[in-house]
Amino acid sequence: MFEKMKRDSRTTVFLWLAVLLLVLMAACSSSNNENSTESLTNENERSSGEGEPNATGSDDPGVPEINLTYWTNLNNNVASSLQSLSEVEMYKEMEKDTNVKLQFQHPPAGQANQQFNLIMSSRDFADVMEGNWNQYAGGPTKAIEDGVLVPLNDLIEQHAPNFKKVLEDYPQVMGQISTTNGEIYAFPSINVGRYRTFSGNFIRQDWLDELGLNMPETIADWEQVLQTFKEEKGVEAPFSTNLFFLQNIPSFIEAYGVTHDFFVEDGEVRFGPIESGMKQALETMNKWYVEGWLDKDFATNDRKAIDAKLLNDQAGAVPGYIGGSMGSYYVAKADDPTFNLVAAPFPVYEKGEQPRFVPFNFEVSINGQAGITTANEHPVETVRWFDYFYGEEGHMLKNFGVEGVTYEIVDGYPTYTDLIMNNSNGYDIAQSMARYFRANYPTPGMDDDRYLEQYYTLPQQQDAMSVFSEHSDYSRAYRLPPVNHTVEESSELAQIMSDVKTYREEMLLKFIYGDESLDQFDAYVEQINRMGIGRALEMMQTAYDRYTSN
Amino acid sequence: MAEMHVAKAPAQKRWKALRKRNRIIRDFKINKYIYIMAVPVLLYYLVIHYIPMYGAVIAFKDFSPVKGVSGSPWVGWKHFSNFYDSYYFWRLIRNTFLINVYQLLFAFPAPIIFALMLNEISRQWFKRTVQTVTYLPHFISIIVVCGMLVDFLARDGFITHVLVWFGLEQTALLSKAEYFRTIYIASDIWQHIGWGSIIYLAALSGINPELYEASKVDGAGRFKQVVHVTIPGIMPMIVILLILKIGNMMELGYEKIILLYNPNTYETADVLASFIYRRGLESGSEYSYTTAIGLFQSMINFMLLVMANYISRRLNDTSLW
Repeated sequence: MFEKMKRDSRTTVFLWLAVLLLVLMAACSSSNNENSTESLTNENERSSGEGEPNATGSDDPGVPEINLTYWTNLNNNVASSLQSLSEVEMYKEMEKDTNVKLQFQHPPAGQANQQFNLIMSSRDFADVMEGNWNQYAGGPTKAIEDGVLVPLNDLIEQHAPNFKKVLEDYPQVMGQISTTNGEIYAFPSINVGRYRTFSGNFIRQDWLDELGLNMPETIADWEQVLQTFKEEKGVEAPFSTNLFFLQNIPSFIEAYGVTHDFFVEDGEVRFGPIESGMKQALETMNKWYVEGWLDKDFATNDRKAIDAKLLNDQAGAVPGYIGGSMGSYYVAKADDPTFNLVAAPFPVYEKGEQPRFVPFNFEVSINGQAGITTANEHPVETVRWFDYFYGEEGHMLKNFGVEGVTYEIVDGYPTYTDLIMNNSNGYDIAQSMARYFRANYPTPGMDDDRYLEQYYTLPQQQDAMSVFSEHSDYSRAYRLPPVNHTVEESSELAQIMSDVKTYREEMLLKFIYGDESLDQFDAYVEQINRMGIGRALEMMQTAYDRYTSN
Repeated sequence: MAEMHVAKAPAQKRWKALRKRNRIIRDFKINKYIYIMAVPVLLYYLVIHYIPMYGAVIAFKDFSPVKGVSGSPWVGWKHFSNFYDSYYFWRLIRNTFLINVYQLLFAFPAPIIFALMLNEISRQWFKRTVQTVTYLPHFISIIVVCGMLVDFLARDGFITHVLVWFGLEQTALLSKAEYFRTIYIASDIWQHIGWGSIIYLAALSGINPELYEASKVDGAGRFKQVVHVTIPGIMPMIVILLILKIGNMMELGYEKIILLYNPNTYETADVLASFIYRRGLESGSEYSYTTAIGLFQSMINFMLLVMANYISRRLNDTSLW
């Protein structure tokens, strides 16, 4: 009797557990249902497909098909009209020409990082994973050490002639895509063109004209211009910005020869917030804040707030992007013919100086790095497939699409057709590009200047491109390149820097607001020293030396 | 005789145990469905609250997702001592503690006073209207409440304008560290005062009306009645809720904090939970470090709860256990 009861209750518990498990499984798999069935079929096809590999240019029906899973975030411009990269013309072309079939896996919008981390911790990798490998905890070096990524050096040596040539032609690329052990971890998005700067500060040219002012260049010029904006135009925030822009798009603090982060001077890595230049910069910023030349609400502004201030004539100058900010401002102000926003050169302290810090893209973009994971059973074919994009044909396909459809060669210059530039279905340029090829966001392959020249359609945008890029090369010497750390370094660095960065952010704000007197600057530097900035600088220097010796 | 007694005792015990077991079985048989209904609740606690506790061991390890919980190397108290040595340690403790103390001082008594006031209203329709109106904010999602706060407290926000009439400087109130706690507590009171008063109103209705009559006979006015009848009547309820509140002291609703703070107000706004969120999820993936802080916070909570319970039992015989 008792035994039976016990058995019964146990059965009940098991039953409930089973029900619970079922519910959990249903909940978990509902989002992945498609993928899991697909990967099952893949598995079958894969095992039958193990024969003589031949990845490129084969129409031979006897060549077995190779299936690869490809994980990457779906760019907004693609997502606005398509469900998956497999619908993009460029990949359809690739599928026609090769025996490699791609199965794309895209995370839900806004959850890319989360899903990336989840995949990493569950070790359920796709064959190819494209994204920012620096966000792997411990960096790319650790990703190889942990057995996530396959080092590509030998594979490239043997099977990637085009990419090998790129590495030979542009030796600086090597240091940006290899780990501290010199192992190449991904196929990167490379830009070796003339245009490397896409953000900066914009100013209302029509206001300058109206008030008889010249385009400001030095800090003193800017003071005069912002003051006049305030007094004559009565604007609330002559220069509007926010914390993100303040740290990421060089403006006035950078005119004092320092940044918010690490930079390089004469081969030595320095930390801007503790340099004496920062103290002078903060004095100026504090003055501007008190005078009301700098937006009083910059600490709480989001991007929308800045946009609103500029579009409502409450700000005369703002930082932003040539495409994303400037382009959209002109769309919003289409009914105002006097609105004339132009790029302002990066401010300098004294006339004749060159700006040291220009937001400069290094050859390799941190996004769009395609790594081959240890789950991939066809690394050779995968490497060949990627190598295609670094060659002439693949380059054209990636940047311009299909000749006769998305572009025509006019006088030797690939010119986008109306399908891209004036799409009759109402897609804007960025969206219609994204439907056919991957030129306008980081993608394994090489960027092309000729794409940018056509992408920025407004004269002010084309002008901005050359204004911002003017000093890119000069500023290169001062920018810290994308260095890699060893596994130990990277965790120690993370620990030190997260304390330092919070403190820096708070204190810089207090100095600008005047809540803390600048007499306290030395005490502030002392505190950052105590947090271990010396050790961090040492590690950055090591990494930098390693990078330059490459 | 003595021998017999010794021999008998275990048998008796066994028999007693058997009878007890039988009783449980019988009870189980009779109330089978009720027991089954309890299973989901037990499973809920097991799966959601107890099993994840296993994860807390990563506070003593250098956790890496690839190596897994069991594969990561042990590091002992490293993360705890790192936190203790951290520049932010005392500030985090201070902020967490102060916001809680202020909440205890202002937000906790607010619904009690409110309930007492409602209790004195004799017009039923008015009482009901006031109650309904004050309940409503409780049902607004915290993200919406914070969105409203950010807008109302901006430089040209509605609340800012009102305060400017009273001579306050026109500024974005949320960028001032000195106002953060006030904003946090005041909005908390606004949102929860009506809802929080329900339980006290229920307790109030349980007070024997004869007590009021007796006190009236003794010559007590309305105020005296409140002090000598009403408040003692709801005292056990107040004490229980106070103990529960103290038990949760260190774990603030961090959602509201992270929705309202910015680097400019970290000075007063950054609490343990928001620090954990920032370091563990937002910027770095310092899983072990933040787990250690979380564990530390839970330990303090636990100690506070035990202490409050003990004191309360000593003082007035009301306690959770």
